[in-house]
Amino acid sequence: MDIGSGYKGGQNGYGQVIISNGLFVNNSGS
Amino acid sequence: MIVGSGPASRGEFKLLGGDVISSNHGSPIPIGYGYSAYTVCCGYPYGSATGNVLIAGGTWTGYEGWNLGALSNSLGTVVVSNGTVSIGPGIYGSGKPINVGASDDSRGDFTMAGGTFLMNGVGSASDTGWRSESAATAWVTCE
Repeated sequence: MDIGSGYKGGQNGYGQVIISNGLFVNNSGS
Repeated sequence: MIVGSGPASRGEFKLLGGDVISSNHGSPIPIGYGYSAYTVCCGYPYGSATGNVLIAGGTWTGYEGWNLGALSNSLGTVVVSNGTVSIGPGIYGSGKPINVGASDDSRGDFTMAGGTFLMNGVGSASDTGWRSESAATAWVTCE
């Protein structure tokens, strides 16, 4: 899960994740 | 998970409520990274990314921690204003979980203005679990 990655791993990307309720489990690699 | 993944990119992660459980498969989450597999072919320079994490409510259970400013000229920021953050113990390894200014010429900012921060399973009494690269800039503020 990449937040703000740019197209195909390129540059100048922007991403935002907002969690306000529920359960989010992250076991993705970095 | 990477927050601010690509070169010169920006990523935001805001936890306002609910629960996040993260092991990130074995390594601290890069906050402000800037890596691209296209650097060689396309000339994208590494780094210069910004990653911001805001924890204003809820709970964040992160076994592997964070790298704030994970490549050169990148900035990683974590602000805890409310809620509960629980870091460690690492599931897959024994590296330090909180790296503020994790790479040369990077910058990491950690600000705690409220809430609860728990550091779990650090190796010894003299090992705080916090680390900064010698050529990086690190700010840790508790207001």
